[in-house]
Amino acid sequence: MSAAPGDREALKEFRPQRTVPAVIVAALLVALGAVVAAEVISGLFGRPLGWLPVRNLLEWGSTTLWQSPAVLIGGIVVTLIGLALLVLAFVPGRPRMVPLHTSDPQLVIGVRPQSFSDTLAHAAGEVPGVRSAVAALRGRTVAVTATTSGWNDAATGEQVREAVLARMAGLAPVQPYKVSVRLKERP
Amino acid sequence: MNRTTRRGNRLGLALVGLLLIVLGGAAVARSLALMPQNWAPAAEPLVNGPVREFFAFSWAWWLVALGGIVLVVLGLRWLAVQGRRSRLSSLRLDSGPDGVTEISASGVTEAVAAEAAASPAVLSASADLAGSPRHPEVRLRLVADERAPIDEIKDHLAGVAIPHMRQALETDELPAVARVSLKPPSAR
Repeated sequence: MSAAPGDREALKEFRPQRTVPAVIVAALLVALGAVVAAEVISGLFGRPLGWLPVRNLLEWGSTTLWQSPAVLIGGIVVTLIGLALLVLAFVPGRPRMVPLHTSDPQLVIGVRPQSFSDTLAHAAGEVPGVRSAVAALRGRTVAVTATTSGWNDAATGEQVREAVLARMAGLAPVQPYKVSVRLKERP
Repeated sequence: MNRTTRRGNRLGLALVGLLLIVLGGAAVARSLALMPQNWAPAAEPLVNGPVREFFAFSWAWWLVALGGIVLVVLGLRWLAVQGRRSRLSSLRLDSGPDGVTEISASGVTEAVAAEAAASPAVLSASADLAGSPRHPEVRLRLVADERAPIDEIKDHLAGVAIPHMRQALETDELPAVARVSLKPPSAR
């Protein structure tokens, strides 16, 4: 599929916003900063709040060597959390909408993923010999499961694929989806 | 949703992630004696002579307190923008010599929603304006007939509804985002 000028915009528009991890990290920053600042300032004025076990921490720090396993494991855990946050920041994530091609670069259209798979399932359900069909999006693949009467499955499978591809071509998603068809016989 | 918030969230997560990787990585390196031993020995307690000397100055503790306060301010600011709703309630058209024209967003959005719903493929439509008063953006939510050719909706939006909206707002630039739900015709 050729990349229309609006396609990149459409993909960007529907990228996840990462609200949940952002809120968690921001709340942790606030809590950490507040506790540390309150403890240190109250200590500087000679009336420590005692929220943090400063004495115990100091003792632990004075007796624990850098080469001790606790420090090593702690460092590894912190590094892994950092890596996870970087991944969240840079991986585009599953779009919340299926973006569609448009002729106008200023117009971005997206279909709800549920609607997208439902309409493809309905298209499959209209194929003769198919009793019912469901479709699910798995990454960039549409997995269609059709229940058939089972008398001519080879032809039915191909017809289901074609019907789904035709409905999808009508919608013109920005990113192509593969179609995988599974037939279930129920005479 | 809000593009600035999305970019900010990703930037914030990347910065915090990077910081944690640097700190955690340094701790691991020192723990495994990968750092120059005459400078950062592994066989030393976490709180050793130089650390004690540094924190013997009271300004060192003030520095820590300041760091905590900075964290609180940054964190609160980051939290505050999460609730940022970019919905506009009114728009300012180009101000002429005789004053400023302000129009309410609801009139405009109702008009564009009605126009979008005029397409036979569209079962229902609603709209609001987002962005800033100078650079507004239309957000449409459409429920469409899944059997109708979606091209019809695209052409109708790009050819009729959005151009009319541009005229009404006296602007050439008007990005529009439409979120479409599809319904089978029987579920009307």
